[in-house]
Amino acid sequence: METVVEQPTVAMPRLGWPAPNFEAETTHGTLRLDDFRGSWVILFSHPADFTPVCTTEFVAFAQIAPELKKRNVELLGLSIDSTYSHIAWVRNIEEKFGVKITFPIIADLDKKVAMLYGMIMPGESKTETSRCVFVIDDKGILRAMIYYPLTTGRNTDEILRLIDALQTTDKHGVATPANWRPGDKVIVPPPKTTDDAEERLKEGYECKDWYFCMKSL
Amino acid sequence: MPCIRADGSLTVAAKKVMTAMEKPATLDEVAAASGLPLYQIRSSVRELVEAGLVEIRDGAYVMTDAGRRKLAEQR
Repeated sequence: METVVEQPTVAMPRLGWPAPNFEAETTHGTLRLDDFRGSWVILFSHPADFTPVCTTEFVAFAQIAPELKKRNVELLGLSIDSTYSHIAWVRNIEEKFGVKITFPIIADLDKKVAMLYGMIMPGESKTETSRCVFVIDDKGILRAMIYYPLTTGRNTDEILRLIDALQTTDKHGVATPANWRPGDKVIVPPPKTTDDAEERLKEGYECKDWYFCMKSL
Repeated sequence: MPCIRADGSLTVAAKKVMTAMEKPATLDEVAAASGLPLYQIRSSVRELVEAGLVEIRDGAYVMTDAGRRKLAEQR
């Protein structure tokens, strides 16, 4: 007979809901998620300080930080390490890679934030956070989540693209197609009534059919 | 950054934030004057208010007399 192993239920944040608030020790002092209101936040976790994939990611995040600032986005890192470890690691990154890490990093030794956001994947590791990204908008709403395994470094270009797509959606009330880039055509939300469907084809958009219309911004 | 070190001295960030509160100022004004991000201003102000070095007066933030003395000592 097969043995059924019961998996513990872990609370996960939900897209479209307020991002769970927290207060945490960071390399920039005690911060609350609320402190970031008015700015977008990329809350991201890494498995551990002084590990190679994480180091490449931190360098990559630092490199997009100026572009994120232009978009009113703040970075906030996290791992289950102490502030002393974080400080030593960012100093090491600056010394060995010539890259300054200017964003705060949460020292989540009690795993409080990691558990709140479902950052620990016990099938991978019970003691480390996976490579998670939570995009929180300027009103504190969780807008996107990305989860990568321990072995695979994230693509920061995609994170920047995601921010551009979400902010374009908010600004213009449109959706963005697969592999969209700023400057590409966007999708006009499909009509929701038969009358509007009838009208849609006369509205001057580039339409394949009533439900599939695009426009330039 | 934490504003007050274990030995009671003010951090560089705390001095910048407090200097921007010589006169009553909003958090946005403090951020602009200090060059620090707004999230850090909110966190710093919370700590400085708890320590009695800054107070809220008519919706704006300003140094208390204790704050002025402390800043003067460490300039």
